[in-house]
This record gives sequence, C-alpha cells and structure tokens, in this order.
Amino acid sequence: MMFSKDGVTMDLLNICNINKSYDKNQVLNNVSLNLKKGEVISIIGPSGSGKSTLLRCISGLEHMDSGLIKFNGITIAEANKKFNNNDVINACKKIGMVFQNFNLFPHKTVLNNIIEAPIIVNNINKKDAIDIAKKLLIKVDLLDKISAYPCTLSGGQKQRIAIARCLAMNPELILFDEPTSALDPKLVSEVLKVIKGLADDKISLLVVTHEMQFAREISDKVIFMENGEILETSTPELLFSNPKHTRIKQFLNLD
Amino acid sequence: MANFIDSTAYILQGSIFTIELYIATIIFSIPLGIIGALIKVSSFKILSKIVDIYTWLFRGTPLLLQLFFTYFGLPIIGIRFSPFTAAALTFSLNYGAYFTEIFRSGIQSIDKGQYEAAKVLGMSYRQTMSKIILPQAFKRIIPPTCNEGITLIKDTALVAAIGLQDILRAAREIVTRDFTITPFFIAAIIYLLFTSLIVLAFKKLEKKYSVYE
Repeated sequence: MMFSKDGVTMDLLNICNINKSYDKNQVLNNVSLNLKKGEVISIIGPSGSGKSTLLRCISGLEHMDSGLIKFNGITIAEANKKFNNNDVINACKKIGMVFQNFNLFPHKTVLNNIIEAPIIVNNINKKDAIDIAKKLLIKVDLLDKISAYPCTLSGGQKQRIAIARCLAMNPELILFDEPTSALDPKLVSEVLKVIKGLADDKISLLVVTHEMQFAREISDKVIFMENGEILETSTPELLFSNPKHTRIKQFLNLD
Repeated sequence: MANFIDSTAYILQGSIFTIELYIATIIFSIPLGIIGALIKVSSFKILSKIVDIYTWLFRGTPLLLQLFFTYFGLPIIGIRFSPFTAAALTFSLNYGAYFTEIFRSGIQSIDKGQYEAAKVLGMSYRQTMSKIILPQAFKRIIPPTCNEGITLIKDTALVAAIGLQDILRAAREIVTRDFTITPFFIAAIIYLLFTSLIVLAFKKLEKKYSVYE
C-alpha cells in the first residue's frame, strides 16, 4: 500500500472531471473516478455509455477535451497537452490493457507475442523474458500453446494469451475493455477465471463488462455509467440489490 | 539448326542487359517505395504532399515518355546520362512510385487494433512499425509486388527506344535480317522463363509467410 504524508491510502489512479466528445456527441461528461492500489472496480452500463472511451482515455488511446488523469501521483494525461518526459512514459508502462478483440500479433507465435514488449520496451534479456513468459503461460494454463500462432487458438485462449502478454509488462493497473464480449458463451468462464485470479493477486483492475455476476463477485466497487456520466458508484452488494437510481433498476431488471 | 542456336545466343545476349536493368531497378525502386510509403502514412504533411506529387506524376504518364524525357530531354539543360543509367533511373523512379502506393496500401490495411496493442505495451512508433506493422504489411504486399515484378520484365523492352539492346530488339534484328519469325518465339520463351522464375520466387515467399492467418 502507498501512503501519502497524512497517512491516508494514496490513490493509484485519479481521473478528474474528464470530458470528451466526438463532433457534437458528448461521450464523457465530467467523469471523475479514483482507484486505490489493489482495488478492483467494474464499470457497467448500456452500450454507448462511454465505458470503453473512458478506458481508452486512461490508456492514452484517446485524447480528452478537458480534465486530467493521474497515475501514482503523476499527471499522465491532460487535455491539449502532450507528455514526452520519462516519468510519464515509465508511469504509462505500468498500465496494461486487454481488448475486446484481443489484438494479438498474428505474425508472431504465442511466445513472441508475450516477450516482444518486455525485450524491446523494458530491455529485459531474451532468456529472462522467456522464463517470465513460461510462468505466465502456466498461470493462464496455456503452456502447451507456446509455439502456436494466434490463428490456431480459440477466442478464450486468445484472450488468455492477451492477458499473459499484458502481465509480462508487470503492470500495476490493468484495464479490461469488455474482455469476454467477443467470446463464445462457453469460453467466457475460462477468461473470467484468469481475471479473478488477478484480483486475488491484488493487482488493480478496472473492468468494463457486461457480465453482471462476475462484476458482483470480483469488484470492490461497481460504477454504473450512462450517456457519458457516472450515475452511481457503490459496493457491488448495494448496486446490484438496491441501486438508488430507477434507471439502474431497469437496466438490471430488478423491478 | 545452327541458325536457330545462333539466334538464341544472340537474343540471350540481349537478355543480359534486360537482367541488369531488372536488378538495378529492383535495388533502387523497392527502398524508394518503402520510404515513400512510410512518409505517406506519417504525419509529415509537407513531405507527404511531395510524395503525392511524385506518385501522381510517375504513375500518370507513360513510362516510355519518362524514358524519352530522361534520355533526350534532360541533355537540353545539360544533364546527360548513358543509355543504361537513363533507363535504370527512369525505371527506378517509375516503379518506386508504384511500390510506394502498394506498400502504403499494405501498411494501411493493418488493423488499427495492432497499433493500439503495441501502444499500450509501451512500444514507440518506430518499434510499432518495425516489429508489428511492417512485417504484417509485408505479407499482404507480396501478391501485388509480384505483379509489378512481372510487368517490369516486360517493360524492359521499352529501352530499345533509346538504342539499347534488349531481348526484344535482338529478336527483331534477326527477324528483319532473315525474314523468319522464329526469333519472336525464342524471345517469348525467354520472357516466359524469366517471368516464371519471378512467380516461383514469390510463391516461395508467400508460402513462407502463410504460417499465420
């Protein structure tokens, strides 16, 4: 745990009042959110509510119109500013992301998918990178696929490799952008099991998901988003059984 | 029969020049195409515009006209090339323009998720291009590049227009001398041999890269 001077647990991630619109369509409306080290937060809500865009702003894939994002106390993103200094680059390396469509590198084997970034970004030597990769493959239960190409894997296997690839960079925070939405229903559980393992390992997670039961099980906090706004932030017990907003009740079919 | 062998030998001599020009063009036009394509997909607006004009000009006018310009036109302003240099230069620039567009389309056909995955793993633009995007684009540009490779063999026949001795010109000389069209058949077979070699080489390359997808 990190502590600030006054002894209060420091946030790993602070999102302050971010706004984002595409043309005239406001996708993020004054969104703020804090995540502590080791915390698991799930974001739920209907499609088009801005959940994915929020994650993409954190990972630097989208620029914001206003607001700022801090990671470990360092400002990593701010509207209309470009950061190129080493502090920010190193901070961003500690944020991993797993995509809905896996985005594995099709021209590389499973092993090379995992070791490429540690070698060329973190300058780890190849032998160590391979050792790490093997451990991660055991963790996601896919060591037998080490020499396979992604095209030969099932969706669930691809996503587990994508998670292993992300873990190889030793992230402090992992952003999951609907990690099971592109999967065959019967392959969902194998991926959720791996993500659950990460939560048990106390890695901070921010998970956009449509799997309500899963969100309820793994999260410390659940956020409901709609129309680019956070409608409610609460513990999973409260939000799933007795949300304040009727809109959330409708969404969860509680009425 | 002796005549047939003589003719073949004479035409094959012409093919030495064809091969030299072919190799020279490939050596210069492919790097030119790679650089042009990388500029086109980059954010250097002015450079990209210049490359646009380059491909517009060289793809939009006949290769023969460009060859005339280099060999007969440039001497007017005091720039003189040997026939071979003029041909190699013109062919390289012309094919470089086509390769620029082929390579550009190859790079742009790669899914944007690949850039995003590389970015969240902390890779720089340079690393992303060299390790992730270009190797995948390479596979996709093999077939259109093969097409250009075949066309280039046949285009070398144009150099007869500036007095160079290639396969077709050698064949035509014998045709006019001996009043027989056999040399044309010989020339056709030599062209076919060359193009088959190119196709075979590219097929090998395609096969090598077919391990994924």
